Amino acid sequence: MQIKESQKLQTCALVILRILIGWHFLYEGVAKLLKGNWSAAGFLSQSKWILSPVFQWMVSNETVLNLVNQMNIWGLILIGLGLITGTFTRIAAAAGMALIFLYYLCNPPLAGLFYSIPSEGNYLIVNKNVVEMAALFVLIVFPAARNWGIDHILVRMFRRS
Amino acid sequence: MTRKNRIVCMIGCIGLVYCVTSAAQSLKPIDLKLPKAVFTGTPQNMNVPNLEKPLGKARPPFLAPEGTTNVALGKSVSSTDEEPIIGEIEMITDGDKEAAEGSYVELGPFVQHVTIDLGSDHHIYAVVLWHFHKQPRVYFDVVIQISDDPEFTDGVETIFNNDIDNSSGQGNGKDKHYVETAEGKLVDARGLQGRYVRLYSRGNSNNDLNHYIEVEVYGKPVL
Amino acid sequence: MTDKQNKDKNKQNPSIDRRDFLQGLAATPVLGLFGAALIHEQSVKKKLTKAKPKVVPENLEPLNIAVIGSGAQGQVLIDAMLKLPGLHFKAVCDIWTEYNLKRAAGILKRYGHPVNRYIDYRDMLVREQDLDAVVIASPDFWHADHAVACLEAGLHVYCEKEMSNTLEGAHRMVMASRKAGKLLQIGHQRRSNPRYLHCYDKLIREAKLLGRMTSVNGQWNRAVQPDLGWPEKYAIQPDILRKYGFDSMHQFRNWRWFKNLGGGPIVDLGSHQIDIYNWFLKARPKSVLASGGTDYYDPAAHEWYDTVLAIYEYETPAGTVRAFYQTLTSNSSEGYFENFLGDEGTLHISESSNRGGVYREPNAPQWDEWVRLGYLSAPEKAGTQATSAVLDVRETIAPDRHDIPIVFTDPYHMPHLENFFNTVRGLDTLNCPAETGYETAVTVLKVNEAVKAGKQLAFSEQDFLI
Repeated sequence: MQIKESQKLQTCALVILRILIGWHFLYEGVAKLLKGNWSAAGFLSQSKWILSPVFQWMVSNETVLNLVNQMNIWGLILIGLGLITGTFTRIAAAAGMALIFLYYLCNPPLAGLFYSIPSEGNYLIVNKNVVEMAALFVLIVFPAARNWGIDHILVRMFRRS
Repeated sequence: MTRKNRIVCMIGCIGLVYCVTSAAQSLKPIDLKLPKAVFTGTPQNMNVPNLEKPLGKARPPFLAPEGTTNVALGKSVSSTDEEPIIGEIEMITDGDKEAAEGSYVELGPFVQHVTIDLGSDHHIYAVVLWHFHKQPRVYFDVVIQISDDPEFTDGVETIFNNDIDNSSGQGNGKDKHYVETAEGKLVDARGLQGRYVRLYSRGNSNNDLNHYIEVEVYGKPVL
Repeated sequence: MTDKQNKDKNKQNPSIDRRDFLQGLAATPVLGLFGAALIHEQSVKKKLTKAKPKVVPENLEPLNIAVIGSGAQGQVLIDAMLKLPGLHFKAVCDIWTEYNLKRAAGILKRYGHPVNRYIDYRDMLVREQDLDAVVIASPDFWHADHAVACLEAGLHVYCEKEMSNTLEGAHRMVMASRKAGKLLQIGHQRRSNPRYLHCYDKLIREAKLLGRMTSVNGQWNRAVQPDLGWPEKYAIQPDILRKYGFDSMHQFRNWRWFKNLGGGPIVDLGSHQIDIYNWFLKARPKSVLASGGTDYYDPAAHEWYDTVLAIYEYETPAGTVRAFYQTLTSNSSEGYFENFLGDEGTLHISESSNRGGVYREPNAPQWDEWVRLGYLSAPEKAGTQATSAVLDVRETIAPDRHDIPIVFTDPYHMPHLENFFNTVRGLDTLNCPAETGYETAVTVLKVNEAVKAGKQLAFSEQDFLI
């Protein structure tokens, strides 16, 4: 009985974590979409460290930049929706990790790198991107949507057929 | 991941250094003399989209085959504005690149173009132009073309175009707006062959007028 | 519920039951919450960004105008006026006929204004009989003669600042305007700048965001510049130069540096901003203390001080305000701005359109209400403007820095000219009438006196009255 209670609580915590991260992703995407003229150019052109040539190239090529902008906006929105509703949760979480990893690689908080976009905290190697990535990893390895999410229905439909 | 990237980068760098050094054997920096830098006057309200970020340092030397010179110096110029507001069209190729009054020609408002006749066919490696550098200004719809045809109907090569909405009718450009400085704008002409160089513009961030202090064409005659 | 049980259940009941559905959709209501939060956020934002439509009066009465002085500043004014509707340019007057006059007339012709050219303003006033107004952008020492002659000819006048290089001249201008019953606007163009108007009317007067103002500082620092030259072949004949008060072509081109002709950087640059001190403090200074000199340039060709630091003392109903101003012409650090400091906030403003901000002191009352009313932008994170986007919103700070939510992209002088012409048409009132320009001239010209005297000089109330 006691085990069952603690399991319930664990599930509950996972579901809350899933929804919160989903909310964050969804709003990041929607806010950019609503801004209309939003572009990743500023963020990308700041890129430091070894991958910066790649990101600089994205900025310099208009077609690529547009693609990056659209993919980023819709990626954020879809991942957010997926996490909140618990639809293809693992795929969404993995995609979210990949996306954040790209942000991290673009502007890693390493010693000796300085950015003109200010940060609201103080970071060394680990920043909130890394923490959110780790949280998404938790969502992948634990059943965060098996019971409380669309995945619950999908699993059943899949099994039935 | 990281290590692999480093290796890829290093290989790329080595390759690049090799290419540059091997090419440099036949290339020399062009002999480009810059005018004195002056910014004066009350700054005007500048709100220009698609603006290029300043390099923040001196422009690196431009390499071209040995023997490349400014072949536009003293060559004849024609213009859509035959009676400039101030100055003469000849000032565009007179070698005077200073910002001062009396160094520039002021052409009428809206779209205007000037055409330099190099006299014969040339391999053209770079075009360097100064519209006006007494104030920080941006000139709009800067289009630079090279052709063998004085009418620019046949065989026209466009080497620079920042007319993003084709408002000057020479096609949509992908180049960025830039702020005029004493350094001028250097445009790579990739060794294209031609006798005529044409430059368009459509006013600037201060007013609708068009100005030229100097245009240099770095090239070699086709033998 | 274990997996085995689930499987069993599926076997028993192949369709998904109601319970599964409810469980599956359990998190979906969060989307509704998200939507509601988003709609609310958008409605708040919308209120803040609602732009006031610009009122363009229909069927503007056409005005015939002339320009006296078509040098660099005259050209700036002509460029701005060409963007205003309802103006017919009739004449341009300048003594540099081969260059400035030729150019201004040439430009106006291309815009469909075939103007008559004059070298002498008296000649122009005699021959041009259908003028309504004159715009004067001649050197400072000519302002009084030019403006008085135009006013006496029954014309409204827009005259560049400094109103005059002498108080005697400025005084004559005010009297001529009163006597003729014609308008005289002085070209302190910030007085019509929508951003400055917003700061004064809304932020300082109405919302009193700065609290009790205690101090002001401002500056215009400018990089080293060579003297202005001229194309030899277009040089003005010496007799013409002498006739119009210049010793040489060099003096004609660089009159701002010469005593009796201009007022030096404190007048050319400082006047714009010290005028704002008087305006925003709604007061006249009690005294001024100043230090300055020709420290950098050749004093022979630069009679006026190239470096000036001045401190004013104002007595306002709320108490004493001390105001610092500096102008350097050998270094451009931080450019130009004005800073108004009170016990509840700081207003940082510059004519330069990308600069400005309002900062709340930590102990001041909250400004949320003013943000909701659209007086200030919400504390914006750096880099969220369209020019430099931010991918991850969390990574930017939200300090107590608010933007002035007014976008102004027209030429700087355009609204001030528009205000003048609309007042001529009876649609507006002058933002910088002669009396205001006079007060500013009194305030600013005293700095050069204080530098010379090497001590604090007092103003009397009488000094500002006419």
